[in-house]
Amino acid sequence: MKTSQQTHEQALVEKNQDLASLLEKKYGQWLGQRFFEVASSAQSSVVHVKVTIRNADKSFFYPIEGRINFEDQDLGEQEARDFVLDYIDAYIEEFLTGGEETYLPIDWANFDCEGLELQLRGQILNVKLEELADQLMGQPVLKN
Amino acid sequence: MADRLSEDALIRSLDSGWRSLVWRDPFSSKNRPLVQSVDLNAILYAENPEALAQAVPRRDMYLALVTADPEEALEVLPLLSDEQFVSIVDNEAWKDGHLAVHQAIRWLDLYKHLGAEQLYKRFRQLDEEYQVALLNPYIEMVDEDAFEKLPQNEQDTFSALPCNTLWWKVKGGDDKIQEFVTSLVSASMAEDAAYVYSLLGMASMLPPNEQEALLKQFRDARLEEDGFVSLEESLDLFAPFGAGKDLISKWSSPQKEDQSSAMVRTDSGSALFIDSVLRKAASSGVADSVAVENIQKGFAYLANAVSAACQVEPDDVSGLKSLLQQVKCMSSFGLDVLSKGNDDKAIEILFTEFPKVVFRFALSLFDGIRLEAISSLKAQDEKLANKIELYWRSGKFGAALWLIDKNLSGKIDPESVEILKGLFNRFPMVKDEVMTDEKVWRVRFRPVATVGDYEALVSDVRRIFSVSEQEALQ
Repeated sequence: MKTSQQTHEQALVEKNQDLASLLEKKYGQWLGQRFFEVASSAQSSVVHVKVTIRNADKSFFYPIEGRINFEDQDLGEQEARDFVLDYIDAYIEEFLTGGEETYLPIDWANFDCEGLELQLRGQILNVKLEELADQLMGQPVLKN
Repeated sequence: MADRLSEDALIRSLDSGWRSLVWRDPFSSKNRPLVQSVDLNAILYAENPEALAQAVPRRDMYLALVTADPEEALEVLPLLSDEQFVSIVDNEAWKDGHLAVHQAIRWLDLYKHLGAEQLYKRFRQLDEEYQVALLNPYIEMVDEDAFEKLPQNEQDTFSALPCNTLWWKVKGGDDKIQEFVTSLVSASMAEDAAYVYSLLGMASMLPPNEQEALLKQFRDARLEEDGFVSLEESLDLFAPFGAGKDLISKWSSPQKEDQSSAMVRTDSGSALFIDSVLRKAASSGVADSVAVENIQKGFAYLANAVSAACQVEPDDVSGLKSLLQQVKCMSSFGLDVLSKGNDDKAIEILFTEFPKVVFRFALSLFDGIRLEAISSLKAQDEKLANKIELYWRSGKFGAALWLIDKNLSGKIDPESVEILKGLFNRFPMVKDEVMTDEKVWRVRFRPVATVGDYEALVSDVRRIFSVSEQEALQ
């Protein structure tokens, strides 16, 4: 028997999958072999949203994160989540259509939109290379 | 903020015809670039660089500057004519039909770096409406009486004009605008104080948005000269085309032919038919290089003309390049059909018919297979087929694609869904390949550029319904 919390989480996961699919349909021309992943959570009064553009082997891995204190901004949780997603989508459009040359700060930075404050961060990673490097570093360099 | 991740937003994106479906133009590397080759370096080192720069058509100069190396472009800026500079502002300083002041400042700031006099000169060369509209929302001006009545802290935010009877300030608290206006007023004051009085007076007194509305009319008229027509005219380019049969009769041999028998497969493979024909026209001496360039320019204008329907702004160089690829491929297909692959006839057609006629003729060639698909779909789901037909005929391609995606996914195989989306796309496209790896399954399309592409699309569509009919029988 599922608790209401589990049902809520399941609904959120499904909604995020739908959003990822919608983003892929919206930006198909610029994606190549890349795809979207969407995750979101809420802790106390802060909503956190992560939209990742990535490929299968993670050689391109771009997590774009946004967060907002919805109580401070006088918003409901769902409204805050939608607001952050909309803002991230506006950034994604600029990033993809502008030749992928518009970057976000690596660390959390404040942004202002329509009188509301939110924070964003993002960094393009080559996780595949990092994992390979980790594997190499974990092995002895010289075998005697 | 608008709901950017809604069904409506997706339909709008699908409606553009080039953003949502994955596609590549196999001829893109051989296609002529959007930018006419303007050698900025040669201009800079010429004997009379100003005359040479100002001889370049304004749109070509704008595109050359935005795609050039920034340092090289910066050196060319002081050489531009008024018309060329206004063209930059027309293209860059507007967003969603409104003046984007920060974008205009970005360009004017480049002149500020070249010197205060340059900033003054360039600003004053803009249309009077531009000058006022850029400052209109931000200037507040008061006379002595009003100034005296202000509290001390408020008075401190104002600056006096030389007469000491008028004070002005920048409203709004935007640092970038504050800095720009202050620099502009200071630069202009050194050149012509009377101009500053007049500018600030008009900017503070005229009703908000009045100048912007007036300016929009001038700007739209100038952009129209470069092919950027209104949305209604742009949408008309995708409307039903009734002159297809007449066009075929006009360009066919004396014996009568219908539309289907007009198609002759002549795929050359390596180059777009239209490009090889133009090359032949130039090399055989049938046309000089200027005439050939004018034809090429005609297609760039056509790409500009479809931009409003395809949601591409005049400053979106990358979007315009995509549209140029689409209209050239489609027109090449139309030319291929009309000329039956005969180079000499194709040259004659290109130098006789407007590019938009060849383009619209090509689009009309898909009516038959679209109707066939609708008719086959009616056998399975009449209501859905009727809706798709209604959207297609009323030019709502995005809504048609959304209906196909939403209602047929899960009922027929994913590849067939995508093929139907390619068929009803604003620019019909044919399946190129299925891209797949452990995480992604995606159909990539290519524009229909040849009779072979068209036949492949027809065959793919017919296969969908023959398979589904067989399944229904079983």
